[in-house]
Amino acid sequence: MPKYGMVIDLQKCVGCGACALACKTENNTQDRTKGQTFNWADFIMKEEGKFPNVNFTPRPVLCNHCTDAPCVKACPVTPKAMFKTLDGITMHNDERCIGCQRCQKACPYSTKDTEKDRAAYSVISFNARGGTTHPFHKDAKELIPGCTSSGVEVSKMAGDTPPYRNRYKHPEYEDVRRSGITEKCIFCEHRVKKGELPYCVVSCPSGARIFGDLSDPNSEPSKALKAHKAVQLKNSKGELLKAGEKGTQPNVYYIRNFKGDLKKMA
Amino acid sequence: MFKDKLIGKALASADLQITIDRSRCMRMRFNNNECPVCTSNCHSGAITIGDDIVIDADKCSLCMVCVSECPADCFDLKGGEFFGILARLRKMRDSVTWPVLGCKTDAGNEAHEKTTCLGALSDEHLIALNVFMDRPVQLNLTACAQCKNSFVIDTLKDRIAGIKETTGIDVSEKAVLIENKADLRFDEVSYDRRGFFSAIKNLTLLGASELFEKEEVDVIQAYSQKGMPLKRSILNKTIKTVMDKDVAARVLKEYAFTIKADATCDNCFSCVGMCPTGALKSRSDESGAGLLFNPSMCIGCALCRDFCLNNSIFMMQGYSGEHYFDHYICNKDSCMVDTPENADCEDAIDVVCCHGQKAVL
Ligand code: SF4
Ligand code: SF4
Ligand code: SF4
Ligand code: SF4
Ligand code: SF4
Repeated sequence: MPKYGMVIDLQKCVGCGACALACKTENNTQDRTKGQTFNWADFIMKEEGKFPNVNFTPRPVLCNHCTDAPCVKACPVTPKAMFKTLDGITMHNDERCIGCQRCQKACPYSTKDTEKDRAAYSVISFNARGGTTHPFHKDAKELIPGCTSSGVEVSKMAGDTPPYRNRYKHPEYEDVRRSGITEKCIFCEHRVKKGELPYCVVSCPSGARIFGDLSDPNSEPSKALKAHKAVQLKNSKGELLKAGEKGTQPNVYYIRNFKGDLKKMA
Repeated sequence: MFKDKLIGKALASADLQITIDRSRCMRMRFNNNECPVCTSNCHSGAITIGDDIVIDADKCSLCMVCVSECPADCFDLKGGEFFGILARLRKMRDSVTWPVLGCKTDAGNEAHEKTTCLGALSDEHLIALNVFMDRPVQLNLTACAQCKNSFVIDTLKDRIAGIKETTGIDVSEKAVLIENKADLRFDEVSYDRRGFFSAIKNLTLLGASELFEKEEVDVIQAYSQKGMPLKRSILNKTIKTVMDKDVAARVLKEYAFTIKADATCDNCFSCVGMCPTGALKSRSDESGAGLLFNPSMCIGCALCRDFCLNNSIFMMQGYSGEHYFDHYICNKDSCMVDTPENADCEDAIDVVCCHGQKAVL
């Protein structure tokens, strides 16, 4: 059985955001609203130093598909709506989820309200109860009346809601999740099962994201982990696990960094 | 791994005539819950609950006790159509003095209307029968003694006695248990579809037209979908349309619950997701956030109370306020405004009160 994981090479990452956009179009996630990000792929942006001697480090983040996943332990339903697949993916089932948000509370990388909690991101987002998902694309209001098009118009022209909808089939997951339940990164399991790579990996122009089987010593991510010292995230604030600290045993690793030294460059 | 979609699975027990909707089961919704109602009431030991609820078709005696006992309506009897049966029995006033309700188990059983087994008649059904019928219905139990479900006679007697004790309603006035063939008064009646529709009209006169909208439960099993148990809507319809105010008050004292959350509630709304029926709702708008509760939808499963991390929820037996059919704010300071005065958190009950069963927490 493979054990899927990801290694992100921060020296290659240029912070372009292609991965985040790719994920949104692949998984049809909605716009950020009321403290919910709906960004399965997101960033922690770190700025250091004083002008002109400054450093800017984007760190792409996603679900860590933790080996010891607290989100799974917290899920109250039977069979679990949040569960581990045999190949290590933390999978979510949209039909069993009751939207209690306990997973969101339990996951160290998630928060119930990113605005209130001043969190950079949240792995798990909650689709509000009662409302409709993708309200923007169902709204007939024009931003500038008589000038811009409305969300509804764009959806109509594109022939789907949201306009960028990718209709994939997955036995556990609807391509657009219903209201009243949570949602999160599923490591693009619908693609991985077909032998394809997660879409964020494919879309990265600099090849910073390395996905594969961590249990296979010859896989690309295993080789990268051997060649470089790797770190793992501890929480959504951007703190890292210290040496010897296990945390939730995240399976997303970060190697290298890109620190420009202005003095040297000059 | 559970790679199967749930929809469609519900029909797995097709030959059983019972549909199982595991999304309604309290044990499936909350893994700490140990509701024993169906397993301990099933005389054949046919029900096992693990990662799923399974009825062993070889063991099941079709007594329908699980259907009538599960407070959450996890089981549904196909083609139950209770109000249709009531309407037709009522309509017989023109041609038959003594309507008879029997079972399908014994083919030779004399009856004007039949249901799979009379064990399907829950407290709520019996109360509704008592209120809606204008004359006694004979429950034909004459074949029961020879049937493997003979215990149903006692079950029905217990239910009728229990209703009388707790609410004062004497169901036996309208639901007459007939155990001996000699006591059965049965007149054949020729009956057609048209009769059915005029029977409905008959009830409409009673102001009960809404009785017929969608009696069957949706067999869609998304856990996040809220659903009112059929038994509960039968009771609610009875209360709304025909029940006398004083009688209703007594029924609500026994069959309804009051939920209240104290100041430790932080509006996390986990309980709203947990609640299987939609009795709990959340509100977050300009007027502030709040937890809303609708007594008519609460089945007293106590999942909300047991799931709450802050232990904020208190559950009281009975409901005596003015808002039985409404959602009203039940947490924080405002809770005093709308909740019945006598629903004091001090009266909070410690048991999962559905049918007196205590769940192990
Ligand atoms: S990052 Fe959060 S959601 Fe993902 S597996 Fe770990 S605990 Fe679960
Ligand atoms: S929100 Fe859904 S997945 Fe998360 S703990 Fe609750 S039921 Fe499980
Ligand atoms: S697409 Fe690649 S380079 Fe761009 S931000 Fe994402 S990981 Fe970095
Ligand atoms: S009686 Fe209890 S355990 Fe049985 S199905 Fe209903 S809720 Fe679940
Ligand atoms: S309000 Fe609580 S006790 Fe009532 S049905 Fe909902 S979860 Fe059960």
